[in-house]
Amino acid sequence: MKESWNSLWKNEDYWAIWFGFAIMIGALLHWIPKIPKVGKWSDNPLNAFMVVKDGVTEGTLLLPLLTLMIGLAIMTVIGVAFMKTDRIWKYLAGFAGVFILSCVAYWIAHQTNIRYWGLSYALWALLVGLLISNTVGTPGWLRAGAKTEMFIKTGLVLLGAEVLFKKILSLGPPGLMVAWIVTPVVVIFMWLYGTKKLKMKNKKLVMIIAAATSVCGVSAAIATSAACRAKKEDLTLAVGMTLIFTVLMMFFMPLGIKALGMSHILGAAWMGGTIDSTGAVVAAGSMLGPEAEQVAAVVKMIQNVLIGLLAFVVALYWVTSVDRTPGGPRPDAMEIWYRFPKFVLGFVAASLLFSFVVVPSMAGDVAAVESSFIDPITSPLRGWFFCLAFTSIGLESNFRDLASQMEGGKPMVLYVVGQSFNLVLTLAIAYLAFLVLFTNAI
Amino acid sequence: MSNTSKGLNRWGRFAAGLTMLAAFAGFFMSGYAPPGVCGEVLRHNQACEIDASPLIYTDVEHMPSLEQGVQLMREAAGQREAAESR
Repeated sequence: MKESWNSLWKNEDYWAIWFGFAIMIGALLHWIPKIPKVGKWSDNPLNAFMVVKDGVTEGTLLLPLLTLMIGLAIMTVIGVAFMKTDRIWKYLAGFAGVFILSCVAYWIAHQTNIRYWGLSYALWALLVGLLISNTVGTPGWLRAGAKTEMFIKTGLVLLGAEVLFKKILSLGPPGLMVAWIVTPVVVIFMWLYGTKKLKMKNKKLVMIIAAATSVCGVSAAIATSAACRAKKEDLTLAVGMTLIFTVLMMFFMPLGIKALGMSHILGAAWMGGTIDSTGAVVAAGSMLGPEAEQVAAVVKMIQNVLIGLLAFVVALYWVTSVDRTPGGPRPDAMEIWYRFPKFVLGFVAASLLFSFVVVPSMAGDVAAVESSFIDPITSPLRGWFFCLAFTSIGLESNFRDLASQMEGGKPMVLYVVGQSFNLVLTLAIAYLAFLVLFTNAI
Repeated sequence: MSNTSKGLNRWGRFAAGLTMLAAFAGFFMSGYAPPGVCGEVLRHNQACEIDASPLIYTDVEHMPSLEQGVQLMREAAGQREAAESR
């Protein structure tokens, strides 16, 4: 496999890097205004599209959202034109359709009671897309705008900006122990269990489920699926499982901790290390009190930083071992380079840029970097790209293909066994870290 | 089957699917919380207005205050340890 210079403008991986860095540079130079998001609402659905300040309606979000749609369409169509994957007008029409469906997904997800349940936009975007693809069928013009891979990869490069290495030390050695010792052990355990014991044929699905269980659910599943170039159905299945179990763990872990009379800090670290999504961790931690909420959220945050490292290692492992011809020679450095998913390098580069250039350039003030660049620009845009990606996945999937991934329920067994192992190991390490080795850490 | 009836069949399936999706979303939008201990966390989220849906820490609106809380806890622990060693 050879790679030539024209890969720089013909390969989706590189375009994800160009898009991601164009946005980051635009943000750093203050060229990009605050990115609009579909608003929150309780009883009146129209409130989601209103700009409300201090209880007073100041206008609608329709124009900002339309501007965003046009801006993203113009940016991404450049890549589509160079890659020659679709006709430009067909892509633009399809993109508008996917964007509107993503707005619908965000609109459902931002309803107050749905947010209390922890059901994120990823679920609703998938369901909205699946509704169309499995009933009337996704029309060709809409399918042209469903560029799942391009949206996922661009979102991941932007996610790199949010992975700040300074966060690793937020809780000192015990936080590192819980988040960074357990995670790789669980990933390796689940990989071996899935491939050797359960003998699952779909190794990519094994890796995605392992990453989702051990790191941070949906985000880790997205990163790993892209790193090992998994099928859309694999990601859908892993995300579905992780969303269901996240809600169950959010409901029952704090109750179990209370019933056992466990130290709240220990319980918080346990939940932070095991519940998949950060929002559910915050909610579950809050049940135990403000200190537990803080510790749980920070443990999860430290674990979040592992996404980039995990994506890099998985991509490398896939290229050097899993994709290797059985009995064939070990690929040399150039072969590894050709096959390596380049957007992962964009993800790591974005993380390094923000961690070691942008943060130091602002006197090490992480909060200032977050409030100036990440919160108003890169983070909401990452959310939009992921939402577009999940809508696209739904539009390109059908229930028959999803059912074929089930392998007699083996993915579910893998998740349950892996999560059980994760629960036991995290509790043991959290006990050791917070109640034995570093008793005065917090 | 004629094209017209195939089309009607597809749109019928769409209407059924849309109804199911609306019912599914409507159930969660209704504010229902399971009775007893099963709904305890949900009722807590409703009472304290806790958004449980963020996927990653940067999506959590009050994350800076949570980080600051841990920072203060660590500083207090450091001072406690220094006082004990004296």
